[in-house]
Amino acid sequence: MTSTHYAILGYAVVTLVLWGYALSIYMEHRRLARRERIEQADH
Amino acid sequence: MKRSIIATYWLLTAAAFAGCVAMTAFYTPVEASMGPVQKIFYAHLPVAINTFFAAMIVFIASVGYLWQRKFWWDDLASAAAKVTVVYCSVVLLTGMIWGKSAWGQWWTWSPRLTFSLVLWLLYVVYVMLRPSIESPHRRAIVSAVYGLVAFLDVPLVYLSVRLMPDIHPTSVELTDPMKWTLLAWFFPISLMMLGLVRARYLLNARQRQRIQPEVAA
Repeated sequence: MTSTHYAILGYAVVTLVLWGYALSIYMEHRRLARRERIEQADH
Repeated sequence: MKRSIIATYWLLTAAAFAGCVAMTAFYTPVEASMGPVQKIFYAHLPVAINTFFAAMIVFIASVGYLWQRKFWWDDLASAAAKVTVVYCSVVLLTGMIWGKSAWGQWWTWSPRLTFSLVLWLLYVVYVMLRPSIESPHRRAIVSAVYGLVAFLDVPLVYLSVRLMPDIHPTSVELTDPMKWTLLAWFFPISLMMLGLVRARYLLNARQRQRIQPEVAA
């Protein structure tokens, strides 16, 4: 791997980890909201 | 908070992030001795500083819970601890990638790297410890005390490179475009850290409301 490859790998890690975590929290919020809507509909 | 404000916040963060990537790729010159891999530094340092800030939020929230015994402090500390783990993971990984290119090895047991790994482990343990404690009150107290102690590693990480011989760089010569790029990266990285802590905190609070509605916030 060249120095450029390592630089690209580094920024890929930063992007994927941070935005991946942000996306996972967003998905969990949506799952929770759907569950709350279903429970409210049951009541 | 209105959805439109939250959406704007994250769009702004994403735009700033993309702008900084473009800035790093096309505006910042390649450093003469280390080559393109040196550019990892422009994200590595802001992420490291924000790791310390996230750990500080855990510390402040831990003090807050022990002082007031309100569960929202515990939700905040737990949220910030998870963000600390994520940010510290990025610091370690980007540091390792840079180290492999610069020194030819992924890891070395230098003081700063070792204390950084300890920091990561401390907050991983914080996150893993919580589900093992059933009582919400006991969980909050144990987490708060642990959160206070874990923060002690942050000054060690920061000062280690100044107090002990270390292969990790202490200062770098930066030209003006490099300085601007480094400063620019603080913007999206800090916005992300605060946004992630808030988002995770709201999730914690909602989950607590569902699972333990009898527990007052």
